Amino acid sequence: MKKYTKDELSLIWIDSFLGLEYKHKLEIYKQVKNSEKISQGLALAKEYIENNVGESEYNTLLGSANQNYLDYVLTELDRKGIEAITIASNDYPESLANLELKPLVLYLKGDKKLLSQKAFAIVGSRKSLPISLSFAQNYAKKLSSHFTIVTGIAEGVDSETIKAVLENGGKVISVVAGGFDNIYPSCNQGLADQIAKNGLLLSEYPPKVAPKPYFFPIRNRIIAGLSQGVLVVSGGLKSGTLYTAEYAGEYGKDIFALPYNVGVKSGEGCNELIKRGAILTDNANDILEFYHLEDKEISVQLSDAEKEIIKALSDGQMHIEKLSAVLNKRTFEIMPTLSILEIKGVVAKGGNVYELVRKYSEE
Amino acid sequence: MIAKVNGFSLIGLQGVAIEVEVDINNGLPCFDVVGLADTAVKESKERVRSAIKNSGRNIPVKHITINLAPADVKKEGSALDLAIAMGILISSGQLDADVKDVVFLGELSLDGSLRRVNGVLPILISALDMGYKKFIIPKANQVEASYVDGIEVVAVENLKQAIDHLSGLNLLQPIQKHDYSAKESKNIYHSDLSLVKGQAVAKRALEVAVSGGHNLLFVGAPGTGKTMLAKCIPTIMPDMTFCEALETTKIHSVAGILKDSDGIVFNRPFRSPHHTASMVSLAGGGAHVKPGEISLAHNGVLFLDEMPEYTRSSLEVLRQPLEDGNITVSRASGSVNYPANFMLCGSMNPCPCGNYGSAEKVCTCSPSQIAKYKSKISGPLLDRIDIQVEVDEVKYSELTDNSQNESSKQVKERVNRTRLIQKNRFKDDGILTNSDMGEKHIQKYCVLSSECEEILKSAYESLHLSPRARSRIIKVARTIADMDLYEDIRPEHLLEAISYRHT
Repeated sequence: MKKYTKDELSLIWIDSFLGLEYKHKLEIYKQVKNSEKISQGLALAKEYIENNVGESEYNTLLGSANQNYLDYVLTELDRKGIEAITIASNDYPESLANLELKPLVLYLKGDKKLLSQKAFAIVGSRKSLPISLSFAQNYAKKLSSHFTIVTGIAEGVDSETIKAVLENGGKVISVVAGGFDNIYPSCNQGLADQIAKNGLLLSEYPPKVAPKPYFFPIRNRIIAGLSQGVLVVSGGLKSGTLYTAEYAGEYGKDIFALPYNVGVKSGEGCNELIKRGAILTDNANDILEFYHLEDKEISVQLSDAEKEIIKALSDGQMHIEKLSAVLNKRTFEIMPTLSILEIKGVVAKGGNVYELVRKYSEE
Repeated sequence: MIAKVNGFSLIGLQGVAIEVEVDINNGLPCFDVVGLADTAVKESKERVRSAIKNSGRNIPVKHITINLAPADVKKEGSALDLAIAMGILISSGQLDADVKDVVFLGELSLDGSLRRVNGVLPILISALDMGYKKFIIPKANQVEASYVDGIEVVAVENLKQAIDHLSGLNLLQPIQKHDYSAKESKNIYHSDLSLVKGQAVAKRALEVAVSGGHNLLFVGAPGTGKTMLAKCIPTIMPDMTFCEALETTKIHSVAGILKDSDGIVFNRPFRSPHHTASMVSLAGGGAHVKPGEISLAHNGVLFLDEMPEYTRSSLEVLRQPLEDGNITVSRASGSVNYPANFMLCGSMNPCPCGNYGSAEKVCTCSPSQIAKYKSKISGPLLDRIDIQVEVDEVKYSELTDNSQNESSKQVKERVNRTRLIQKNRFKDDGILTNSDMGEKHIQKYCVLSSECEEILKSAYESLHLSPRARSRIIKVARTIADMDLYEDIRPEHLLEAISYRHT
């Protein structure tokens, strides 16, 4: 079991009371911090708690101000493989330390070293066009070779991003609204387990907390805080992703947004952001160039037939029948080559439409 | 005097000899039918009474007892009418003929004419096996009967003709035997591959599927031509052999959907039950156990349009027949085995609204809706579908592939050739097509070169294939290699097969 300092323990203790507001927790912590024992500090804060929170709450806190309760909380965390980092910890991420409402305790599952790495957020709405999802995957793949990708865990853009990053062997931080026992949506539990193994699952709530609707916008401040920049893949005018962009703007981070056609509901938010000064992007290279990064090329051996197809596809995606007309070959003659390019990860197939997904160089 | 006349009844596709015994005694006039007869048989006495009267003979005003032996077999349908009428005529001395080796089949009309009955072909075949050679059947059934070799069939239009023939007053010639020739078959399907524009990928997949007997799933938005493509399948399937045609005809005859004029089913059947079809209508069953759609599609195609819309239970029913090629329908009244060796072709939209993956149209479905929609086709069923192919809208400007205007006839020739290769390969294995291969056959006939193994391994990793997908891909690759006349599976065959995987 991880050894926590006294201050850390006080924070974990105070954070385990779900009913307390942030400012009260902070106030109580200040009192407890200066005392030898939690119960002593609590006695000092008695008046404050009774005036601002309530008498019965004080009694509850007092009843739990003992080693037994604390041990219980810690064993629970340990049993679930969760590590806590508090504002009193040395390894509290710098990127969050300056936030106005920095989370008192961060609950982590996975590789906590990711917190100190260069990160970039990809967010988007749950209801996105399929094309937006494939954009999210594409961006995630390219950016994950340079950044740790930060996102939520909702369906749609979030899940697609996570899957693409994991597939690409990249690192991902998923910030969850609610405790780890209540991953929302529950169908992404499997994905959460994968992230815990190959990335980092992060929450500001103790494991048992069930997510409430208002958790999600607040959670977005952590996503924005952790990242150097934020890409908004999709989002309506009232979408939660706009909060992330809002926070990112507040914290002075770079905001990128995909442009959308007029009238596309799931993209109105993005267009709004662009109007307000976000950087328009329709290609992952835009972001890489912005940060003066190079697209990492994959090197594969290519046959002549493969090169021919790549050349034909270099102008963008193409239907297989058009491709066959361009190359003057029957469709089933080029299908084997397309399959092998797909296996090599150079080309992606969506129905009968193929497109280049990676730059390539020859060995 | 007791008269004994031969009739036949059906259990499943098997004819059962029924001896109709008629005895006429003195006593109160009455007409009794005993011997486990169903309603249609019991009611025959009214038809027989009128038919005899209207044919210029009379029903004796006596106590008539009719026994249908064996008494413990349930008799169904109206095919025994003629035999009962003959029995009465002979027993009452109005007809003097030796009928002990003649089988009578036919339903009587009140005016004495004979109506067609269902299941004449399977009855004739069973009867021939039991040693019966002479038959008198309704004229409406004569074409179907003309394909059975080694029997003497007299087709009559009414009861009077039958009486005159037997008493020697007006002898009728036995019907001419027809020789089966697939060439006679007219293409009853008004589709042809040359009429399908574009869709080169789907057409190729279709050819691969038919060549190797693989089941096929089309995925595509509404109105992209999935049904049109499916309707082309029977036009490129190899011609039915006489054996196959006979088997299919038997089933269609029993189900009563055989066309009188054709007599035999020349064209491979194409059945497309609507998605509201019940489990029983697909599998077969009912109070009088009837063959279901899967048996009617025997040796042909079962097309399930909008596959996820079918109820789960009706889809799951397909699993065992897809494996075994037949279905045993068990009911309290007995169990019947119907052949059901069909090629399954399904079609589905990519999502409930149909626009998922479309570049132009907006999909309004949530990810969970799409997942739910896709999960309606269960894994075990998907495992039996070797080829999945996307059918998409082709823009007018993209309809340029001029090499694709092959007619079904041309494709069919290639299919016939590929099927022949498979037939020769599997002659000792008791299977016909590549899709029937089990693990054992795959190991024997689909030896992969190290290059192919390498491709399969990297595809397995980078495309996240399931272990089950492996054998499907190898089987399809075997078919493509056969189409290319290659002894061994080459990398390009394997790679093409990989592009037909489930996504």
